[in-house]
Amino acid sequence: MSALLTVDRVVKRFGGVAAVDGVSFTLDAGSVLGLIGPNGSGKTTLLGVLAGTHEPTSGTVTLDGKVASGKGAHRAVHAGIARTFQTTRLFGSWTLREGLRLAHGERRGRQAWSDDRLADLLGLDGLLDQPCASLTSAAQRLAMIALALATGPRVLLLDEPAVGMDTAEAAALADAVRRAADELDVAVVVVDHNMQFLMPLADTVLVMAAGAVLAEGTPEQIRADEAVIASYLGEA
Amino acid sequence: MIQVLVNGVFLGCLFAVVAVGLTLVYGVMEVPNFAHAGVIVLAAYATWSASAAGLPFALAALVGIACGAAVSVLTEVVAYRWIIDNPAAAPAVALGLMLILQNTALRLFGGEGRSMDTPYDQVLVEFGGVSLSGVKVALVVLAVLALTALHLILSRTSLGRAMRAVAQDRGAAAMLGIPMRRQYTLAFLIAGLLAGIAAVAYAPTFQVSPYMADEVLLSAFVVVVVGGLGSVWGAVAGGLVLGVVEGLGSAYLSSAYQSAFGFLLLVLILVLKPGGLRGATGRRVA
Ligand SMILES: Nc1ncnc2c1ncn2[C@@H]1O[C@H](COP(=O)(O)OP(=O)(O)O)[C@@H](O)[C@H]1O
Ligand SMILES: [Mg+2]
Repeated sequence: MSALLTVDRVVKRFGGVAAVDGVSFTLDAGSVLGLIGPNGSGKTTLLGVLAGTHEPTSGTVTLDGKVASGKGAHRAVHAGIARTFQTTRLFGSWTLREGLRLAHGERRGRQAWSDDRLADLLGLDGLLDQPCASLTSAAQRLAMIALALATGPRVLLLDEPAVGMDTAEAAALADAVRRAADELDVAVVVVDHNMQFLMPLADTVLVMAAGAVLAEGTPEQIRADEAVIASYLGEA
Repeated sequence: MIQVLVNGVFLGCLFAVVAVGLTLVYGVMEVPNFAHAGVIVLAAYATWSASAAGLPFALAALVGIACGAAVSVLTEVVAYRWIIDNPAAAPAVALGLMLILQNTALRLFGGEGRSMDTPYDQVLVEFGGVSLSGVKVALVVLAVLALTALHLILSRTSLGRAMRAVAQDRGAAAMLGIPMRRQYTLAFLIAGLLAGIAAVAYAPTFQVSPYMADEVLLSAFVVVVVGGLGSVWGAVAGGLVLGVVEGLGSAYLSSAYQSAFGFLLLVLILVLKPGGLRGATGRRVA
């Protein structure tokens, strides 16, 4: 079986700085990749390249064998690559249901959970008809993830989704992400600093440092990797 | 008294049509579009030229409205699009565009005002002791139709929902796969159509000149702020309020200060409700 998403020697420079410096990996449908690394190591920029927001300086991203990079964010979403942001972005004066309606319109026939199922899995029951601005900040983050899931992604990119969540909220989120991978065959890339949240969720972990891949392996391998401990895990 | 009110409503419709175009563009792209005045001017000259060339007024009006839409979209495509990531540059670019458009009109048509004849000039519509020229009645009808159509587009169509989404949060809208450029162009297209309608309505009552829209633009900005930035219904309500206030002020106090009453209202409202009448919490188009 060939991989759903192939990232091939992607470089992204801002002026002279290579924020992403030659990253390659592949991702299968239904698998979860944890992406970790110190602040400024290029994780968000890499997600931006995958999501079509940034055009790579060189290298390509292919989805199902078709080049997906460098075509703009809306084409990526239409092709089935959805993302969330490190800082919450939502439609504040709309209810979540109104936002979801717009998201479902971009699905192009791909499958996604119903609004009620999304709310149930993400712990947002009873909040579908509240204006998003009135939700707690953890609920707003979950709502943003619900919007991304409602576009029916084949690849879901989550940038620090568990920030500001307590243990129970993070566990519910991990459960929902796992289910999206298992039930809907979504391939997921999750960036997070919360190892309690990330390590049990990830099938594979990729460690970035200064724009490049420092290590890749199973969560167990990464926990035991001395280079990773020295550069990142040791700090925590 | 009623006559004054009716005239105020006429003026208010004009303000509302111009202000809705401004607020839509501001809501979607965060640009204070001073060039809107230049669009109105060129649309008015297009109408005047078409009419002078012998076209019937209805056709000339269509030419003007189409010209407004085209010029407005042009400003987005050649200028605003390129500064989307640099909002601090927007006011300067907007002013520059306004000067370019006005000077284009000055160059092509000269500085003196032209008056335009329409088949409705001679018609006086009377009801209940109030008389209003046919032009004004036509404008009010056109304004109501255009704003109702816009409301339906924004509230009922997926294109309109997408536009409201962009106005609330560009990042979230992009996350859902909404093509931003198309939304920007669409906002300018709609604003240009409204500018064309304003031009067609304004020209026969006042005069066509390169500076004809300066005061209307200022009043419309008052309306946009009063109505709450980015709020279409705020702009409509604000337009009517301002029209009536200016109408009453100039009839009972002094007509020389007509625009000053508008600014007095602006200052009062900003002091009392800094977010505008709608108490806007952010940008939105609804
Ligand atoms: N839009 C941008 N323009 C210029 N430099 C950027 C931009 N985005 C990120 N960078 C730089 O790229 C590097 C990687 O940043 P980022 O991808 O946000 O890292 P991370 O998400 O791992 O914290 C940083 O040095 C950052 O300053
Ligand atoms: Mg980051």
